[in-house]
Amino acid sequence: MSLSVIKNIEREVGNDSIKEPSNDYVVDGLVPKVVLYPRDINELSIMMRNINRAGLKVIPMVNKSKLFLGNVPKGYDVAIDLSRVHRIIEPDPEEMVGIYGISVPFMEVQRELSRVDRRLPIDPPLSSRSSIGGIFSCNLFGPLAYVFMSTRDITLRVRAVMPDGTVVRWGTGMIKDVAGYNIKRLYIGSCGSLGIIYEVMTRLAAMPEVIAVARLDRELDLLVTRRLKPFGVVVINGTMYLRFEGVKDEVEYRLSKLTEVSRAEVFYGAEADDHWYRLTSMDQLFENYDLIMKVILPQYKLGDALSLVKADYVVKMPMIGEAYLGLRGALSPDIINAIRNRVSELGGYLIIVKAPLEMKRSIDIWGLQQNLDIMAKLKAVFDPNNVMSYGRFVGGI
Amino acid sequence: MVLSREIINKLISIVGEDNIITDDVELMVYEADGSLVYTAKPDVVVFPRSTEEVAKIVKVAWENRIPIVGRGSGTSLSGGALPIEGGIVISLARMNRILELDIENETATVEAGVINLWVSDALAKLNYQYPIDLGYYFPADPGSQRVSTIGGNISHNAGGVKCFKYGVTVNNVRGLKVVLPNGEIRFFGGKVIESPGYDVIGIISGSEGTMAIVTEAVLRIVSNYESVKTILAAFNSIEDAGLAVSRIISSGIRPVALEFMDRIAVNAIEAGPWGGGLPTDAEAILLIDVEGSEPGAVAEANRIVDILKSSGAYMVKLAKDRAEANRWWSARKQAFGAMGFVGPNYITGDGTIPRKKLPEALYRIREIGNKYGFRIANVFHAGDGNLHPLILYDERRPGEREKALQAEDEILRMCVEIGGTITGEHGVGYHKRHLISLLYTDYELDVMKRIKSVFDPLGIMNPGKIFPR
Repeated sequence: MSLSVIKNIEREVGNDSIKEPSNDYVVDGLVPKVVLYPRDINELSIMMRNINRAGLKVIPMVNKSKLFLGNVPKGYDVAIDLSRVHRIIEPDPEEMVGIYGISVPFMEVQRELSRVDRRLPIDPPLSSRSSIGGIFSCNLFGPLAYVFMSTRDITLRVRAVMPDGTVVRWGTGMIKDVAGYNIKRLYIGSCGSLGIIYEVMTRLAAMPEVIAVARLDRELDLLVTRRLKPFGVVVINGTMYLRFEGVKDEVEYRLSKLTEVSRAEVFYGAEADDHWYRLTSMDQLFENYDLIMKVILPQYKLGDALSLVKADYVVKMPMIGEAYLGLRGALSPDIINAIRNRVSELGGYLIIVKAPLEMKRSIDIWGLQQNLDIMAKLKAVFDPNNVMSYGRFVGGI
Repeated sequence: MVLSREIINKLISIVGEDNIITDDVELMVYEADGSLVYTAKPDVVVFPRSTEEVAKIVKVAWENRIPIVGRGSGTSLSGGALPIEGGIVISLARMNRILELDIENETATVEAGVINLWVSDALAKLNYQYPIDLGYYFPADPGSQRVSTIGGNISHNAGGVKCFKYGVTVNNVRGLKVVLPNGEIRFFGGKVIESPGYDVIGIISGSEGTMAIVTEAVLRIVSNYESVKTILAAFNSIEDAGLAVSRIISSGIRPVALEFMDRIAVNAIEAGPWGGGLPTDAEAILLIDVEGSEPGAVAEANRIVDILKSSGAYMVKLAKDRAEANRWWSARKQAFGAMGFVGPNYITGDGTIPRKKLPEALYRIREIGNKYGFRIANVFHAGDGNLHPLILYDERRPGEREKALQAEDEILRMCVEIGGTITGEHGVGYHKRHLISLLYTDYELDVMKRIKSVFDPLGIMNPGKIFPR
């Protein structure tokens, strides 16, 4: 890596904005040569402009809670630590929208929103330790997406720094806005491969009058579950949790219907909400398992896919057709491919979320086979020098 | 441009003699769309019956650099379906089969030429077979749903009255089969909530036919609730109606639909055959749906009634049954068409504003109307801030159409000025392409153009749309 690039950056940014790399910044065994720690968007823009000119390879991060997600990088010169770059939380409770900086922890956003009786209606994995940036750049969401839609769907506007350092805005922040191409949707879920999101604006939901979470010691059939009209459903190692929301009469009605089909223990209010976010954050899964797979299927085929894998820990979200599976130890590429082929026949996808390094080196974690040419061309529009998270996204782009 | 006999013969060999129009008089039908402001005649219109036929047609266009414009029912209100540079109009109207209703996986797979409402109608028939279930429907419901096609809805990322709760079209598309400009057939997504990689479905949706021709879609369908309650409220002031909207949304209730109409719009509807008994003396009315279990929906409706009354509504009515509710909704959905009863011509504006700016926006629209001497009716998807000013004019008067377009232009500029956008659901199309630079910098527009080039490097897909020349 050319020292002149760092010198150029040093000249334009604060003294503490360049750091020596530590173990925290290691990605798949690779250590960056330098850590950049921008104070604000201006510094971030300056850094990206210089990095892009030199063609250095960059991985952006905030809380570093999801560095395991992605293919093994094809290059890693610079870690960009975004943890202090933009920490705003600006709810507009009347318009039912909110603006958040990339470096704010998700749970801090929820706490601030609750003060104005609002919330971000998503319940993504690792919510307990993720920043807004991590959740939105990876389009992470949980069971509530059945009612409130995905993280990508609730995003109204994205502000980002392009790989060449240009500051851009995609979307106007209106719920309905079809002026120009919907580029914000490309950014959400691009896992840091198109540029650096530094701010998102989303739809909000109001805090409901009543929240109830029912725990069942058995799993109900999908069609029976749907008739109960829950807002979200998660099944953890066979224990089923259904979340109901709304006015008191509505929730009481739904719970009365539930008692017709099963016994249940019911939690209410803040206790229920806390419990729900602990469940859907899946911390236990991410802390204790070396291999974590995510399957995405048409809802009714989810059971078939789960029967293909003997997992040690299963978090199933039947209403949205997704599950996270924890295994101790690695699987061979042949076995992964065989499972993947079967999942694909069922109309779904299998993503390796976390895996031992040796295993990651021998597989494509995303498993996407189709339309990779278009994906590569789209990346090239934003990042022609392949500086952003090089090699980590689908097809090794 | 004029197509050679050889090209026409190639197209005939693909779709057959009965599925092509080349006659000048017949082509006139395709020289306009729902906007009825500008015209542009195609050289030929073809009616393929399969994705494979579309692919072959597109290949011919690609090899000969002929412009292609995809067209559904031609209801675009932004000039989106106008063949500005001539060429081939590919009508998807005969690709109108519902291919699969998959209740287990909550999807409907349809061809692009299927009329939006047909999807819900087909699902309703299924409900009849299985009365034990609550039944399903397709929630993206633009006002044009009786006539507009799914392909057109996707191309324009259409909205509808239920967007506030269920999102716009793109939020209800799970998979897309498209034909790229080089004739390749591609499929994106599936019957799944997400798929790895960039959101290509999201970028094609709303791209107004400038990237690819959508031929099939996998749609999300949602189940009905046990009960829907419809509330009608009348106000003596627009400000009070706006305040009521804010209060309802702030209360935590998630209405399925929340619609606003002003006095001119209501009077136009009630003057025609689609009158639904809406109060013609009100300055503004709100029409609201909530859904849930019977006790839940009643409780929510009662709370809304209380909010409406405390916000100054002089009349609040809960529909006594679905028949009455359907009359009100049917009247609302005919609002655009009803303008024909109060003026010979009208332009349908389409801007989105922050909801709390509604009184200011309506005041300024009235001022713009006064300045140009036009009556302007207002229909507003209040839940999501999408405003439809309907500018009434008479094209027989010289210069009046141009003046009406200027008035629309001013209204849209005002929407941007108060924090909104130039189009909520009708698209930029041809009419508004000069306004897009109010929202995006040259750099940002250049990124968009390069994305178009990923799909359409020759620039043959719906040329002359979205981007300023």
